[in-house]
Amino acid sequence: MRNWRMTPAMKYSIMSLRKQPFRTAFTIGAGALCSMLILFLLSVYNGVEVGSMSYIRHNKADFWVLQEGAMNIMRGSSILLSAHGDALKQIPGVSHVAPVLFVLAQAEANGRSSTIYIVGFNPQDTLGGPPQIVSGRNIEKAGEIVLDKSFALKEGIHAGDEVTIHRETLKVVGISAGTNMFVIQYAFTTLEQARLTLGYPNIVSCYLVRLSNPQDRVSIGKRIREDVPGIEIFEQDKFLDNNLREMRAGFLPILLIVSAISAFVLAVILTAILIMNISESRKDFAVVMILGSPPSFLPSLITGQAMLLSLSGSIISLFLFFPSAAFLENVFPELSTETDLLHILAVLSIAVVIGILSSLISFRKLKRIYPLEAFE
Amino acid sequence: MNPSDQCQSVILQSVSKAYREDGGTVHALDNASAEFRRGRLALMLGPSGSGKTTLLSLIAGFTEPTSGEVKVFDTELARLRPSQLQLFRAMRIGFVFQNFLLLDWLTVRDNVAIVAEFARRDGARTLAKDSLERVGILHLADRFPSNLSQGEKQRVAIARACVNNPQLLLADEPTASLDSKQGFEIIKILRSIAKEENRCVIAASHDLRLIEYADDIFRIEDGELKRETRPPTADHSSTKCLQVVDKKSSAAGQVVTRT
Repeated sequence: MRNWRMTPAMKYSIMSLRKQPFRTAFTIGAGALCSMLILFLLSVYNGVEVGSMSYIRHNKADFWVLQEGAMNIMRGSSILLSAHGDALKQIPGVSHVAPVLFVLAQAEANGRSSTIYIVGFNPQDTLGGPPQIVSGRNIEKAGEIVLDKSFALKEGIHAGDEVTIHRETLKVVGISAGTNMFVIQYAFTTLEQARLTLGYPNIVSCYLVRLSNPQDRVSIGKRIREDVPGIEIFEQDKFLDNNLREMRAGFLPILLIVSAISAFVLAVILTAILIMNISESRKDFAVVMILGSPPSFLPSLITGQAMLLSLSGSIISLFLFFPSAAFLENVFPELSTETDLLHILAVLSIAVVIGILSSLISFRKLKRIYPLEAFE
Repeated sequence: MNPSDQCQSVILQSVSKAYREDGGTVHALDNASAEFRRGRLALMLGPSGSGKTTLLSLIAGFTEPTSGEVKVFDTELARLRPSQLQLFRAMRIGFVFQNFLLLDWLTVRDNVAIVAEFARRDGARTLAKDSLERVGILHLADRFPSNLSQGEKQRVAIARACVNNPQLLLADEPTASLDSKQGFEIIKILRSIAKEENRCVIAASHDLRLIEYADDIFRIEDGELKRETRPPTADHSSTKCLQVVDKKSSAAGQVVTRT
């Protein structure tokens, strides 16, 4: 690093940008906003993925058993009977079968009614429950409920409060995390409570199956398919993948389109500013040519300007993003962002690509400047 | 003329330059021959559009002659590749313009240093400092051109032109934007550059004040280059169409025409 020297083109790029402080600040600001929007969308996507998938990731079953034709719990219905569970328990090598029922319901609290995604499970089972309790405790018996953190924040509910679901009053005993799917939030009650809400006894959505020896999952899976008709069996990874694909199909395209529009807007702004700078500096650039600048000097100067503008915007966006995201999450608790190093690298890479593209487009304008213009 | 003399000269041999314009051909320079030597200040007189700038751009290699040959210190510019020509220009030719053409986004020092960097010279800022000191404006090094007087700007332009110690200095209307006092100072500097630093200085101008300081005087009219055998001050008829605008008179709404 001791021998590092800024190239003349980079040095003069900085100096030339200082000439137009307002325009430079405007471009950097626009770059920061666009980069922040891209980072925000990526983080929201990641937040939704974490919130949607934590439940499946946490409940590490050897098999997820659903109704025939059902592929996921995100956007598909699955109805199985208690008899299916009994049949599963009879299969040799199956050590534990945990029934889970998913029900969409209206929860009323503080005079307001909101939709929640109730997960009914047996509290004595090690499978089917919330991935993380951040306050209070897990449910132990009927009449208790665990609510998602962002839902509780949004509705102003705390552990110890009560909510009403289908005329049943349930006590909030705990608050969970990793249970926010952005458009809806998980809530956890006993299986019986969920069945009461649904209005049908002996119904479940899926069974989570554990084996005595997971190494035998291929042969046991085959046996289950033969002995229990009308079901689908998925190993943990496959089931997680099904749900991820379902979530991405519905959510990711929208985010990608908005991110692409942001990147495009940034590229257009940057290109326009570069072309404006070149047009206004025609005579200066002609003089620079006359004074003996190497052929690469002016392209390097423009590339330097583009990179400085786009990267400065991106770096500023990193500083602005985290407090802004924290503020938005406070105002909209259901909004959950998860940012990691890959997102930051993605935003910086997008800035570099936009900088290079914009400068390449601007070179066409540069090529039309001739040294003799200095004499005019 | 012996070969070593040729190495010290800028030589134009039967140079013509024609442009196609509006369907016709414009002969900007027609069969011009001349020699400009080091240690001398050459003055090219001529009205606007007479071909002075064309001649300077031919000497600097910005345009190629339609016919004829331009040799700058024994180097035929037409034979150089673009990168060689760029380096040749950066190291051996200095430019002074009518409107100074300083880069207003750089300080005075950086305006000079950038040219040393183009010539890939180490210690560009030190060279810039030395060059500014030579023209007596080192104290202005950290100012921006917008904060300088016209005369100071032209001194910066001269410091910039001389920072790489070029053998050839081309000045396009160097006094046109200056008042009499500042104009004379600039002329004296150009002359001392030619005489004391043994450079070839070619100034294109229609300012008759330069005549008494010039060693060689040429006149261009309608693309025709002629060498004046005696100072035109003694022969006013040869310059009767030339005008000199005195800044003070101009500011007062008068144009003084010296014939």
